[in-house]
Amino acid sequence: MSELQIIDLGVQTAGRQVLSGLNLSVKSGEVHVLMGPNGAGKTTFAKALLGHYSYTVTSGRILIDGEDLTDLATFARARAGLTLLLQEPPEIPGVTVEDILRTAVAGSLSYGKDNSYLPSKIASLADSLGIGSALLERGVNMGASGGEKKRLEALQLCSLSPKFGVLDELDSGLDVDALKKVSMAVKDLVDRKSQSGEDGEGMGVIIVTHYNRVLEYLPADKVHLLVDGTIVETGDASLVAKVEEYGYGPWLG
Amino acid sequence: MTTPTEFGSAALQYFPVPRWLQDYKNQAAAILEKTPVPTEDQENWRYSDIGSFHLDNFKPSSGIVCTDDGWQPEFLSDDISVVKVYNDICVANTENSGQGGIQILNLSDHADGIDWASIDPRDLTLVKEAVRTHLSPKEGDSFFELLAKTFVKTPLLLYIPSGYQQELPIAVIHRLQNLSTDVSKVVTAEGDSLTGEAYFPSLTVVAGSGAKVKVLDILISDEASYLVVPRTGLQAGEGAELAYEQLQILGDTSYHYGHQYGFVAENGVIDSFSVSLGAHMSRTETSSVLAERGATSKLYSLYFATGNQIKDMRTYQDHLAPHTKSELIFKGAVDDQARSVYTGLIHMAKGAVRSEASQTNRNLVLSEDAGADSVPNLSIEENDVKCSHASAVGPIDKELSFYLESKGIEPLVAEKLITLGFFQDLLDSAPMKELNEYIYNTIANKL
Repeated sequence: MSELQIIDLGVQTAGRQVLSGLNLSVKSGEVHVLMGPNGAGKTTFAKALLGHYSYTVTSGRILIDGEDLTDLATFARARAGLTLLLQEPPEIPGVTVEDILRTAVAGSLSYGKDNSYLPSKIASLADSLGIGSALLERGVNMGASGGEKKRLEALQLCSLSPKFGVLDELDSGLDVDALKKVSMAVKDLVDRKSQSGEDGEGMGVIIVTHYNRVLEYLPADKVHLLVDGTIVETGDASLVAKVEEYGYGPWLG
Repeated sequence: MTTPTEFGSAALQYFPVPRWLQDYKNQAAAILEKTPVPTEDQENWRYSDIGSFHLDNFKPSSGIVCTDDGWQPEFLSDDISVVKVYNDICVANTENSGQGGIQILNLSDHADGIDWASIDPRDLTLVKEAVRTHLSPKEGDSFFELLAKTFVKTPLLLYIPSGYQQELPIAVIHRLQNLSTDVSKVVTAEGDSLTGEAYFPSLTVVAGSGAKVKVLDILISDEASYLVVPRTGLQAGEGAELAYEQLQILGDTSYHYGHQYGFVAENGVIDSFSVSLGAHMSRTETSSVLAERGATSKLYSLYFATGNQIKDMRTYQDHLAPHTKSELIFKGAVDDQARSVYTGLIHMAKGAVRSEASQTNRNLVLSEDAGADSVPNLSIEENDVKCSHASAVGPIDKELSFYLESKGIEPLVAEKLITLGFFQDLLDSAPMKELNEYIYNTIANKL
């Protein structure tokens, strides 16, 4: 059982304090949802956890099983078990998903552009996510629609299979069928069972979202409301229904 | 400034060549004598660090006889025909004069003139003209062109007869080795007053009507400092398809002043890809003349510079006829203190109606001390044409690095991936894909 702890997190960007006093703790196999109005700091939260260059942590700590990630470089946080699924992933010419995964796993470059090395795991994952081979052969996200980008992100998440995933706007750009596929792939990670004894632990996830439709497939263990850069209420899935009914008004200062 | 004694008229006679070639050399020498070495004051030389180039540090190559030692680059497969030119001496030639097939002629071997009987009569004019324009001096020749025309030793003619098509490429290897037993003759990296040798590789490729061929040209040297002034002439006859890839991997203390001229006849195609990785100073002048209706040329280049390397590229897309098309893509990356400058001109002559030309130069600047300049130009005398140019100079987008790093990839490795990805489209369309792995790994190792 692993635990991601975010303690008293404060984050600045462009001289502005966006997050402050944010506390959140996620255990293996748990699904957390972070909801909030526009500008509440949801994307800041997601990017700051991975050490994005535009954000500065001004207070607090980020821990996985007691290991302090707060001052680590982005790649080291990823290797410690934290992965980010970006809301708007960039297009990278000439670098395929396979290049990324192969490099992330091997830690170094190797020439292999002929696609002869495509582990069956990736191929079958791509298939279950509805990703065609043409998309895999291009540079990652090149000319891809919003939905295709999300599928490619999900493919990488599934392949890297981290301890914890922060999924920023997992549901945006996806139609109903695609949302189901992507959500089920994430759910498999959350539910993943030990393959060789007790090492296997489900991925803990924080889903950052505006909407509740993703929760049909990924039932939330906890729901957090982020308003003005801090968590103002935490509850179970019924909190989503309250937001649906009343909007964020009751929590806004 | 007059030409130093090492390059004086005595040196010119040193290597015996046929009378007709000696005549060309003498003509070039006469003009060379009156042509000063370029200086940084000249607009088209001001980026080239010509100030650090001293002709007196070089001398025409000695007459040491080279032999084929069986060496071949590991990236060349065995089934490829190879012509080896070591230190400007042709030492091996595995392809030749099969009936109706490709012919490779070492023009300095033909004492009484070339045996034109072996040339298909339909191609005779094209071949003669190609040889003449390649080797004789002409108005407007630059200092280095004249130097090369004066001191050329082994002009090669690669002739593909009309209608002859071959899938397997032909490789020409220009290899420079320091064979001198006197170590004091080696120029050190510090560039002191020791003397390096000068070489003048010369290659004319003539593809007759409807012919099809792929030519690989490799410029390779050891770590001694050389002056290397190659000249390549590419002639695509009517409907011919001529693919040419040049790999420049000279040692990084050498000075390289390269020239490539393309000439495309009606509905012919030249597909050229130049990969420039070596030399301290590498300046290339690449031109393509779309001489007749429907002529097409593709000029692609990949350059990568580290340390204090300099890449200076000049290009000229010259459209003279209707419905001609040229596409140019030059992409490079500069790291450490390296610099690059790209200057390109598209010319649309009056009458080149419905012609299309594009010119793209993109540069990745990988360190704060590196720099790249890009200067595209158009000269258009005809209204009914399409021209476009684009240039970009900039660092790696931090958002791309963050993305890769967020997948667990170290920053340096992420930079390599992005840089190699930047070149991938050029590698994907390379005439000689067999070389891609070597090119990829060479860049990855230098990054």
